[in-house]
Amino acid sequence: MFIVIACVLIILLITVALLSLTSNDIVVSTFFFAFFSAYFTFVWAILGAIDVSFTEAVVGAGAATTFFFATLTVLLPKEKKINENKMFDFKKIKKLKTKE
Amino acid sequence: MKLVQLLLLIMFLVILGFLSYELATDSLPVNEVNQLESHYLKASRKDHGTYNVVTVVLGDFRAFDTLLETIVIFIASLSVLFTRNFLTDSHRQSFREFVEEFDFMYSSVSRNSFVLVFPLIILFGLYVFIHGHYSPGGGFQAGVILASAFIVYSYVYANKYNFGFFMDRYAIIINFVGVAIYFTVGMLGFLFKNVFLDYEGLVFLGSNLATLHSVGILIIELGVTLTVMSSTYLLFRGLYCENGEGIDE
Repeated sequence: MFIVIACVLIILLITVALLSLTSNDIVVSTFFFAFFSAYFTFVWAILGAIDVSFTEAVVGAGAATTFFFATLTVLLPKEKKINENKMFDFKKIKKLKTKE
Repeated sequence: MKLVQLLLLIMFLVILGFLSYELATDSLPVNEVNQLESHYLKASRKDHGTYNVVTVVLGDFRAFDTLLETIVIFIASLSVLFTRNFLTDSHRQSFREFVEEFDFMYSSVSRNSFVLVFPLIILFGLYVFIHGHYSPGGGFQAGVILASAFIVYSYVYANKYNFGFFMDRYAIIINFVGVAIYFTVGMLGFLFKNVFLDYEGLVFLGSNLATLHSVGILIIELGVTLTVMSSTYLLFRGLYCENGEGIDE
């Protein structure tokens, strides 16, 4: 049972790492990097290092991913911004309100 | 070019395989390792009054190492702030204007879910911090969990607006206070027992040595939590806000 789970995890890890390396879009690559960290938490848990697994889940899968996306929102050109939400464009709505 | 990359990858994998084989077999002196291990396992319960061995190793046996790690995080957050030219310009706007704009700026779904989730994240962070002696967790993890609550605030309520507890100015002060708490405990040990970071120097807390060690670890974990929380939040703010955009006042 242990060996089966370990083998599945290793295959998943390698595929996700290769996908994150080879993907053309940088956003997709970041997503796969987060998945890689998430799978690594299971690896640490199986190896018996629960503390390290917890740290990996919090820092690797959580904080590092938010840092990557924060950097991407600032760096990417305006058309590609992830955070751009035209439904709630504040300036347009304000103009509409003042017209009424 | 792809072929070269693949060849490099395969070479790296082969080297990694050899290295892990060396680690798995008896390349280390087994007797010394076993002695150290059994000493750690016995001493952590008896002399340090803590059930989680990892916390004892991080907080007591290798306390100096953890102190330097904390200082590294402290310096990293400050350096990101200075490179992003973060604190020079200020975006002034009164709270009333903010509320008026906010009413039709963001969806009610994200706002209401934030109100539900925020106290739960804070509670979980405090739980992880306090239970570091008994279960996996401790200063670093609790700090990042607490910081993630404030990061959610920064995402939901536009990154421009900071009020109350969410001011970056306070985060910088807390960042320093965490390191100061850690260093003060170390200096108390130096004053009373002539050894830096000796928790038996906390004389005013009692005479039971196990309790002293346990309380000392708890105090330095508090310092680590404060530093990691504020510096993670500041790192995020420094990366997320464009120059001179999101500032307190």
